Amino acid sequence: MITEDFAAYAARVRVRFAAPTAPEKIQGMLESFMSGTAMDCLEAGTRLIGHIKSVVDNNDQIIACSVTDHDGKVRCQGHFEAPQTQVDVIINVLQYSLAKKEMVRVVDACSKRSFTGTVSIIIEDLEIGEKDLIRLG
Amino acid sequence: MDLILIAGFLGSGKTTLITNTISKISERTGKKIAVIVNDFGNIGIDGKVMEKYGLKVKELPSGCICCTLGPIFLDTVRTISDNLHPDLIVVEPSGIADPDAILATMEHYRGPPLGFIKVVILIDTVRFPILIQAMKKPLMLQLRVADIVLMSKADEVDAARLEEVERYVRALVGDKPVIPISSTNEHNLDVFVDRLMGA
Repeated sequence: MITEDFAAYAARVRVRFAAPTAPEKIQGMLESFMSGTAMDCLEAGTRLIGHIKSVVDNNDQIIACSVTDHDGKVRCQGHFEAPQTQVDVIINVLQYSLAKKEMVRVVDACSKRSFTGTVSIIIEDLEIGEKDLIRLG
Repeated sequence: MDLILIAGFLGSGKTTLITNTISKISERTGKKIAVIVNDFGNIGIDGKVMEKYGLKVKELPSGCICCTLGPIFLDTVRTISDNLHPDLIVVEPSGIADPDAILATMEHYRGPPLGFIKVVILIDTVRFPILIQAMKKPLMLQLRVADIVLMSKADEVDAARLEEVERYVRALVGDKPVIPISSTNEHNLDVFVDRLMGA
């Protein structure tokens, strides 16, 4: 590893909408979620955004999004063509100088803020260990 | 069998570069290519994206192949070599990997003989000022083993930024190729493939 004070958090955000939701609306919510996560991590004290990336994979359609910049700019590849009633967003948050519990809090808050018109949002922690901060070197 | 390491800091554009250049390499050289992706998080997102773009990918998530996953990485290279017989393996390590440590790990490789091992390092031109401030030493560690340096996201910065980045990189890598690229609009990807494959 080339750096210390690095922390990672991976989660699956299961979003169920109350009704079929237009692809462009889902794309907008996803970008808002990603950008909000980045900006909230900065506000929480991250020294440097490593990489925040996500993938939504619904059968043959995929949207992969990424944020690296401190202005929260989101870059996405792919799009949905049909309305969706449910999306599973896998998000990977890689940051410097931010404890995992802070990233958990940020992802939870941003998902609730960004995804609207839902009947449920369930967040599953995909990390195996309970490491708050991975210290190396 | 040759091996190419596509390394660079988190978010520097490694996955996008690979998805946009593998087919070019394959078409130009006829080589059979396998890809190994090492994501730091428990869920390998990069591998999923590459597979959606039609690549055959072996994921090594949850760790770093430059340290904890070193032995598994060697086993993976050997297994791919034995089972798939590729002409070329492209490796995308996690963005926090030390490529020099991966090269050291490869010294313990005991499979069929390797041809060349090349290291490509991506430098994110958009975030260069902040990275050079916060990650100067790690960047130097990556650049010192580069065979080719790619200045990524070149379409998002101005000429002055590209000159600034190239000046910095040149001081560390000398006359090795330093190429501004954009994977999204494919700027200079053909130039990169030519240099990489020795055309």
